[in-house]
Amino acid sequence: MNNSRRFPFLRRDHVKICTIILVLILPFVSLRAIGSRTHATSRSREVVMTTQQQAGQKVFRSAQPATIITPHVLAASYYSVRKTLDANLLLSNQGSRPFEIHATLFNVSGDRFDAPPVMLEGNKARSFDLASWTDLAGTTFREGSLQVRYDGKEMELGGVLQLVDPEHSLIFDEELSEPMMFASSRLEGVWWLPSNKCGMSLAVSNTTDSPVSVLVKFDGLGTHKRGTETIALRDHETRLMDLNQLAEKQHGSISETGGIDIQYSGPKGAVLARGLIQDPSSGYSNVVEFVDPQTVKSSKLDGSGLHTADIRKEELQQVVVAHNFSDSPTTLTGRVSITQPDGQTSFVSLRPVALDSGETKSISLNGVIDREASRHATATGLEFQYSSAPGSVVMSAQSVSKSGNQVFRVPMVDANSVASSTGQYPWSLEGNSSTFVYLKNTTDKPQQYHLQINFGDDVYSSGLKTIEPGQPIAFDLRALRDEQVPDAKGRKIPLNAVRGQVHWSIYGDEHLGLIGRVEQFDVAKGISMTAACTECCPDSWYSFWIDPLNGAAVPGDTGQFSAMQQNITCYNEVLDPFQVFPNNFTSSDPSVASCNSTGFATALYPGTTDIGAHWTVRFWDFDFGSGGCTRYLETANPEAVCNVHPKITGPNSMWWFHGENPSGYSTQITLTTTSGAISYSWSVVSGGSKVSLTDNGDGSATIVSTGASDNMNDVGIQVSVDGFASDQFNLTVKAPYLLHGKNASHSADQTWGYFTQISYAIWDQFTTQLPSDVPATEQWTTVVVDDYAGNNWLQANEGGGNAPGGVLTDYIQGQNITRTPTRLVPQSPLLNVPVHHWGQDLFVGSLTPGAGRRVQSDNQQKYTDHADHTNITSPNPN
Amino acid sequence: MKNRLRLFTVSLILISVGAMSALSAFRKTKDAKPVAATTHESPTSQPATEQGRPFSAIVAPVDLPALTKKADLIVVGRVDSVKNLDLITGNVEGRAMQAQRMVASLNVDRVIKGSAETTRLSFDFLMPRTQSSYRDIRTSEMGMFFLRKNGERDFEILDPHYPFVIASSTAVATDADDLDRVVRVVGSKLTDPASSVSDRRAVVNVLTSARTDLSDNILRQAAKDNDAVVRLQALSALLSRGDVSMLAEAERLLLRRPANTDDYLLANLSSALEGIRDPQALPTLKRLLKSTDRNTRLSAALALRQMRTADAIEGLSAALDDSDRDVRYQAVIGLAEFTRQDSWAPSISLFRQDEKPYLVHWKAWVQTQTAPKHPGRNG
Repeated sequence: MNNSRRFPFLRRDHVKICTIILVLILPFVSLRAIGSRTHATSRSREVVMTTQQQAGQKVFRSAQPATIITPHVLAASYYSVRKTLDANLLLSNQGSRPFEIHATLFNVSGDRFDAPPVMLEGNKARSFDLASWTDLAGTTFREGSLQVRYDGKEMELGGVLQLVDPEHSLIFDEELSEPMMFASSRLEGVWWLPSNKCGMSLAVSNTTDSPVSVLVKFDGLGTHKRGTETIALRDHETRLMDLNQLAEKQHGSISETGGIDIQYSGPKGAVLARGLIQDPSSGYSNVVEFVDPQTVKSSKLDGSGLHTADIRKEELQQVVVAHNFSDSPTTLTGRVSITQPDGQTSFVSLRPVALDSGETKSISLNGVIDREASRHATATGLEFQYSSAPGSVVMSAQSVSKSGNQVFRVPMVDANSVASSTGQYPWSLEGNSSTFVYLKNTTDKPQQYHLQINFGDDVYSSGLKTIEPGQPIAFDLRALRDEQVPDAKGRKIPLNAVRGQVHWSIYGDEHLGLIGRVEQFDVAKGISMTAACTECCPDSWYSFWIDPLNGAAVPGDTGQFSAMQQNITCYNEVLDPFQVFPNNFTSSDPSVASCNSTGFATALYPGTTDIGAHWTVRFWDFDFGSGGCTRYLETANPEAVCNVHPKITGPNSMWWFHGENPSGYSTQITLTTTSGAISYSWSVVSGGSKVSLTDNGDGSATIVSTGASDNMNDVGIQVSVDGFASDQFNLTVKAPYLLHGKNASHSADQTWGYFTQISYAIWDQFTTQLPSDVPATEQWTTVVVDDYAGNNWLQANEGGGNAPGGVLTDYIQGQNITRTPTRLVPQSPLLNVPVHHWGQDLFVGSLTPGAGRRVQSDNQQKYTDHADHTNITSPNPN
Repeated sequence: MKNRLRLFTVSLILISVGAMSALSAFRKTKDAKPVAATTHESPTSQPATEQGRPFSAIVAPVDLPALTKKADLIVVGRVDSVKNLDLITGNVEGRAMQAQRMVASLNVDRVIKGSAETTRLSFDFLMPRTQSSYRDIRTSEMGMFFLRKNGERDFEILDPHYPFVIASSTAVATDADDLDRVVRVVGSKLTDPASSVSDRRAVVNVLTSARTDLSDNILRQAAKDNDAVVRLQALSALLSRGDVSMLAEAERLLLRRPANTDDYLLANLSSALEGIRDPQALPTLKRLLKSTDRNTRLSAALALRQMRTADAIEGLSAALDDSDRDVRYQAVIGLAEFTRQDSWAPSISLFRQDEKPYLVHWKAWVQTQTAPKHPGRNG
């Protein structure tokens, strides 16, 4: 293998000796990955591996993606902090591992300034104001190019350079690229100018330590429309060409559209270029992106996230421009895809466009996109196919407001030329800014993806989702947050969350098929930027299981089992688990629990069964040799354990009346369990003194109360059915316990002088009133004790009666008028002239005196004008 | 001796058989066969109970809605005469005992429910020979009688405990609902100038069981009566049915406990707090938890418990520190019921044995509920 191609700085002689740090972590995978390089050339190798899987447990992958650390250099073609421009470098660590970054500024002459190294934490993005470095470097460094070096995995660092003129609402953004990834010494770009007031510059910079010569060909400049410029660039020199002056020099002007073809000497990736278009009077700004035609793998270009709805009541114009860089004519066919809020996508085909060699054309979308439909569209995409060789056509697209101030660029990319269908971007909702993430299925079959939004230590996850063929979709992070849209697990983005990272990855057998990008804009400031920041490979499986891992149920229960998978990024960041839908769930013993293919299970009979499903999981490893991704397939076959216990059914409470069985109160209950078993074994496992149990032998047991509960549910019953034990069935034995809330009334009576009614609530041992009618009685416990000397009052006979609704009322008459002392009607206040009294007990549960549960002992005290209960003892259980 | 014993046993069997026969026949009074040869017809209304012995028994309080619903005929009238018929063995309060079958003649003023063909009607009733809780019916007794059909034309008393209730002789009841008409006839006695204090007390006693809007209004009127008994019993009746319209007055009485007020009236009033379910009463109940009277605090705690709302937790938490154990128990059981922590819901006997672990548990739980989860910047 030619290391000089992969590590260009190694060629550089003797002065710069760089060390290749190759850290092999987790030898199993790493060795296999390297082995694949030597023994296989296929980029997508399939290896079926057996993983030890045990029912009721999560399965974790023992080996994770290799961490192969090598030096990397990212570069941007042009920066400037001159005049009203601010320059910000946004760097994003895509992995979980912190690493040091070394930024170097090169002024236009190629002199270098090494900024102080900075440690960038894992999964964090940081913004650097280049002015702080240029101030240190000196005035000659106010414009030039920059490079950022780090030691890590491929694409582990993502970066965007933003040149912003806030005064004129201008922005020029450039995603940092790795020169070593280029495949040729050629760059191609296409432009569109909204008006002849626009100025256009072309920045060309040398990324190497050697001089290079650059040939720039213009189509659409000057009188003859075609012209060339040859530039010699010293090492790391940057040249900013004013194309307006160039056009004037050629006695012409810049056409509305055109193409630029750059060829250079030196190694591939030695030259970077960027076109800067601006009209400070309107606030219009845009960039000309250059592509290396050799990196393009197909003749198809896709774009996602075309703005179609009005912005700040301004109608947007959609502009698509294509340039044919080949030597022969080509035909362009395309369509617009529009996704509505209901998720349905409609497609509008465009008329074919013929492009001669070197020709640039603007493709009008006017009238193609229904304005009403576009207002409600959630996402709009573009896709074009050209008839010539891959890379021969370069396109750009944008939406621009009539004023020119709002510009939304849509990169048109070859989905097959990106490293993988993944992305990780910082997001921000600070101030008025918005962040959108756009995805588009560029294939003709459905694709799946998983997207998650990180903020702090929390996460918001889409779950596993499907994008239909050609469908574009968009995630408006501000809307998700502000409208508190729940994610797949019901979680929401907190209203105070303003920044974090978004990660997404394709899920399936192919590592390509989706394109994605992030767009941040601030319509108040009239600026927007976009970046794609792909990762080295799609997410790999990290663990899988059936949820719940262990299910306990009783016959008749139903429940949903779910297949769960957790992935890990190629930078070893473990992601949020998500549900997969294998649709092949089975039960190892359907007589214990049945399970349909979607995982919906029904418990049928005591026993144990395993609920399982199988699906394909993928492990992606970056192929160091080919620069692609190697795929390993495994079969996930997890199982959950489902224990079906016998179920005991019956009342959870019963009553005890000290052997009495009053109507309306259950003192004996029947518990039942699964019928038809061979053996049953019932037992009282707690509270044995409160009940007696009789096994009826037919799956039922008779429980008779023998005492009162001390705690709620303190009686435990269990049954074993054919050897499988049930959960403990708890019940409470309630009993009348005390009388509460003495309420007296005294009324006049013609015959007896008075009658006194003394009412109480009959409480159980938890001080809850008895719920319904219950018999109650009184029993005299002492002889009559005279309090009034010489009285001849008669003692009443003891008697029982109904206590309706659990309210016991003792109805006590006075005395016949013939008796001494003479009874009186109730006085006010009551007279305190006692006549005689005797002891009484009050019982609940029977009309027979002394039977049932004693709830109170007291004296029945007779006075001349009323009666009372005195010396009350309640409770006083027998 | 053996013979005597045998004779006694036979007698018992005969009595039992007779009792059972009478039991089945009691509802058909006319067909009842007297077991005693004597047919005593008394011109007087003097009760035939044993030596004028009073009774004390467990008797359900008057249930005006049930009487109204079950009665075939409800009339207001005056008893002209009461006559003894025959002596039978009947089912009296679940027991077989000798009872005098009697007939009363009633001069009907007004019909409240059902229809009476004439202004005079007679009805049968039973008066046990021994002491019982059956209500006497005397000549010249005036009231509202609740009767049921006994044959095509004859009537008998519906409930021997409550054959009639106090009624106004002049009230005109045109309400559509039977119960409202009954309540109005009873309630009119409250404002009848001829009514005695005893009458007004009886009105409150009877209306306590009738939970209707009309009854509420009459009780509210009674709660302003001159007589303290009428006033406080009416107030208690309102509170016990959850009517908090006069809660402020109840609170005033319970906290100030005016002198010369019978203790039983204030005890009734505090017990009535337990009928409150309206969350608007929460502040009052919390204040009553600070009463010096233990019964008042107990009833307030019980009312909070029965609300089963999170708003009651604060009051129940405070009651955990009450000086009375039963109040503390209500707090414990109330919190346990609300949170469904059965293992921390002891019976009151278990609590009385060792309350400490329960109090520790619930106080700790309360701490977790009240501790600020996210301390604010301003403290």
